[in-house]
Amino acid sequence: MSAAAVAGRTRPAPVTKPREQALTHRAASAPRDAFPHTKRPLPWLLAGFLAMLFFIPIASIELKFHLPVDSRIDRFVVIGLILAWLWLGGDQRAFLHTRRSKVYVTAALVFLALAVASLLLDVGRIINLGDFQLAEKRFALLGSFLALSWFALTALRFEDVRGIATYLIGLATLMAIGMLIERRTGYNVFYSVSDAILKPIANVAPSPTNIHPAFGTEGRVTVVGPTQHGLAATSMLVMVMPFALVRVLDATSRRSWWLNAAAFALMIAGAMATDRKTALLVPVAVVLYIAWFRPRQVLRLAPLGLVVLTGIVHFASPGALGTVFDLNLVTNSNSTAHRVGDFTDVAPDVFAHPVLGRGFGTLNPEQPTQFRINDDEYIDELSEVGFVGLAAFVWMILAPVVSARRAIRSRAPAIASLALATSAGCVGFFVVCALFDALSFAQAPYMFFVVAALTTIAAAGPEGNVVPTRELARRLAAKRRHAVATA
Amino acid sequence: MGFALSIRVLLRHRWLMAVGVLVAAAAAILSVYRVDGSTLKARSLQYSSATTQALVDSPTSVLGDLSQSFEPLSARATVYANFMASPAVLALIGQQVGLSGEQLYATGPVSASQPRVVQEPTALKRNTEITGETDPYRLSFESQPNLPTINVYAQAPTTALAVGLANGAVVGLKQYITALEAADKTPARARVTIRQLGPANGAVVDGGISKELAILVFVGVFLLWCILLLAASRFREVWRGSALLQDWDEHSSDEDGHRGKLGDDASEAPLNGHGDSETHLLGTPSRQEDDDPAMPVRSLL
Repeated sequence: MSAAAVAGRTRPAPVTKPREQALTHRAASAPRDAFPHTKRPLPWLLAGFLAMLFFIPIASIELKFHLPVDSRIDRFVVIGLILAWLWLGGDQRAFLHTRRSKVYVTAALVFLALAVASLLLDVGRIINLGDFQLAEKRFALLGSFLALSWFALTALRFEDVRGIATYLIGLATLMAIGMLIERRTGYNVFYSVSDAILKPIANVAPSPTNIHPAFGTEGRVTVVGPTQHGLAATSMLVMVMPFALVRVLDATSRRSWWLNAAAFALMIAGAMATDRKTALLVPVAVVLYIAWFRPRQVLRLAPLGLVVLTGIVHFASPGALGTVFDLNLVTNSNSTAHRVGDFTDVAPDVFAHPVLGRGFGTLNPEQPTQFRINDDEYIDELSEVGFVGLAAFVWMILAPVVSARRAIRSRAPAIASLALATSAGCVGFFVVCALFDALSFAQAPYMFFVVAALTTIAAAGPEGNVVPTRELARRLAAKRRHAVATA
Repeated sequence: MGFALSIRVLLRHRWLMAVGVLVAAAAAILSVYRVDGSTLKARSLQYSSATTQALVDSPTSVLGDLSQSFEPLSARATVYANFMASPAVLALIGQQVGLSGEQLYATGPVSASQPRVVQEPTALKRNTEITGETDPYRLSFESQPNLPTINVYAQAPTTALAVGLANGAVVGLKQYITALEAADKTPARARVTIRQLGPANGAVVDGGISKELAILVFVGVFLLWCILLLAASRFREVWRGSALLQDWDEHSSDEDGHRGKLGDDASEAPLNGHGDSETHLLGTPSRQEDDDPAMPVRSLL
């Protein structure tokens, strides 16, 4: 692979320190076995899962055969990924025994342990309320998220990250185009095509799309893309946006600049097509985060970028800007009023179980007389796993960002750009969690757990790579045979 | 293969694994039993539920009389369903199964036609709900708009109690209304009649929950133990490696003034495992492994 390809087509930065020179050299001279130019099956399986996430409405599909916990298509695919990981030689050694930061995985395990403890330590009450089965389902979902993250961590090498990032930009751009079509025509291509393809094995629920604001919620259209809710679709797009934005900042050719700028603009337009405030707030937070590390580049791009983006969004999703910037709607809508009451109304639950909460996965949205939809994942976590669990949850999201800091500040451009882009995705999810109950829609957390894994891999650079044990054992056996033959 | 390597690492600590099994077994037992003095008593994790229906009727039943309207009775059913959650009626219901009214937790109907925001509990309402979350005897009353019926849902530790509670709810309401009518000397023709639409039926809801929970706890605790063991084992290796690294660093410093400073690529090698076959355990980056034909097989472990 050429230096430019691996280095993310980045502007050559002055490399001064020997260690950074070595890193850049290693990144540049890596073998060509990198996604998509690889025959390793695991990265391709991950790519398949990501394609499913971006194009198939997994939350609205019920398979015609059943699992003990759930019959959603993503659960089956995650089980398939785990089996493939075991069969094809997925190797935790690729993560555990390398330079890759362990902070994120430790944080995730701590959160999982606290979630289990929150359930088991108060299991009598939870069973009495009939919430145990619900909690089991939520644990299965959390297990799917963590398994996917582990899969990504152990299946990918540093050299794969750039290819996966390009792939994600492509998927998100196509998804954004689909959502713009949905906004304009009311035709949800994701639901329709999935229904046509999966008919023999699954039932696909009808799309909740409604492009007439009068029939949507609070004068807003209902545009959902491949998800059940516009917020989930927006979250997916905003977590990929920084990948394109960082490439715009680093572009060394006009073609690269234009392609990534167009992808970024389409993602913004697609997100805004949902009429959700999240589509405005999260990109702002992501841009501020990137500006923290690249202030000059962002400031230079900002004036022109804002004008062009406004034009594109206005053209692509007419009316979206007006709805999002409608101050009356922003301050007086039922959605805003409901959010204001979130914490006060959930306070009794928090104060009744302050340390470990009322039990992970025990908030039942189908019992409106008992539980609120809190529009804020942090409040949900506070209620379910208490203050300790909330701290672990926040740390789990921020751990990749923290572990990427050093890599972002390093002068090895290939590593710095990838670490910045992926960690910005994590920052996006961090903000998303403050704006709605993100774990309630599977696509958003799936994306986060993949992006968090990418951040950990990118932050470690090529030094984090290791030959999988199976391959290593094969080589050693060959060497031993050769030694015996020679003797 | 990495999975197999982990199992090998765990098998090297057979005694600690045995302790892990014991700890997990103890946790599993304590999840379904509680210590009471010197004995173990089963926790009441299993519960049953039962349901029945009551018809709010007139002395000459509306079911067979076309001249009578359901509407006034439907409105009454809604009122009664709410009223049945009051302490006065709960005391009468409790009497039927030998419990006091305070031992019962009951909720009245909520109109499903109301928007979700209205149905969601306020802090004050939630406070009350939380106080009843641990009550094992629970009742819920529902009424459908335009229907003169009350659905009674009961929950109790045993099926017999749950059925008794559901039946008792209808009897309690009947007694209360009759007492009220007698006290007010309501004419017989104007009296409300509560008819139970068949006896309550119920069943165990979560049969086998104790076994399921014990297995879950055992597996969870044992897995956690294994993870801790692997982490501790790995830490011990790194700790030993770091000691060797320190020795190596000091040795190089003696030999060549400043060449052995930590932080250079070369000096990081032992922590990663290259260069020293004794300390090399699992972390050799690919490029070095390619160039090291003498690397021992045991380094995989």
